[in-house]
Amino acid sequence: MVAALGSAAAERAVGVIATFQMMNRLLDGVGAPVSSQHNALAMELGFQPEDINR
Amino acid sequence: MVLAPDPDRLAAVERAWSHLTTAGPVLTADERQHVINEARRAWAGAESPGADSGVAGEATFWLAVDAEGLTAEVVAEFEAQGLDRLAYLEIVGIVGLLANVDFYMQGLGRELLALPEPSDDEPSGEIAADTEDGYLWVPSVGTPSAPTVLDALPSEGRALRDLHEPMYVDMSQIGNGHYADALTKAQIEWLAARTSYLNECFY
Repeated sequence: MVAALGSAAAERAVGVIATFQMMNRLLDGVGAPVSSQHNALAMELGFQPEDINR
Repeated sequence: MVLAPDPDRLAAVERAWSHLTTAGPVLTADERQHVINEARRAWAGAESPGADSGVAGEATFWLAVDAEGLTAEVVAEFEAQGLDRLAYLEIVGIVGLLANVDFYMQGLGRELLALPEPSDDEPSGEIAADTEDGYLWVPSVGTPSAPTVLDALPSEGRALRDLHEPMYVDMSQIGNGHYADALTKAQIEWLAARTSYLNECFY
């Protein structure tokens, strides 16, 4: 990534990824409900909505 | 390779670290630092919670390595073992913010921040007056959005947003598809989606 986009973009990417390592744990840890609007997308990604415990 | 942190993000990390390592609304500084140590132990490859870490250590371990595997029944079992919902919520916040801080430092190729000696300050006891039960597994304020899921513990909610905005995007720009800094909004959202996919987080 540094070679392709430069150090500033790589540092920015690390920050975004680290933030979602936080947000994923927060949202899953508190049991934030998943909207059924996303069921079709979940199935497209290979997940069964009924297997998502939220 | 070691990357230099952006000054605003480094300042946010330093504020978050000060917050994480001092007394919280329910837990003492020492208890919060035990959570930090347990989460780091999990990320370093431990296969199970520490033998003497108790139910708080068990909750910490699973939040660190398999948050998507938690269920309402598991959290109820934590409560039955003596971990009340507000203490659990504080642990969720600690593990979450720590993930941001530690993954950021590691991603840059830098050393993890060292724990200070814990102060003996008492927990603040600051709990929102208008919490509701039933929407989440923990008390919440109103119908929470992602950046407000910790707001039953106001200091934890503020700390989340203080880190979330410089690391992700300012709240005023979340809906702006044309926003760009070192990355475009599309690149930022691709990274967010890919990370969430790998963590099996579907929110």
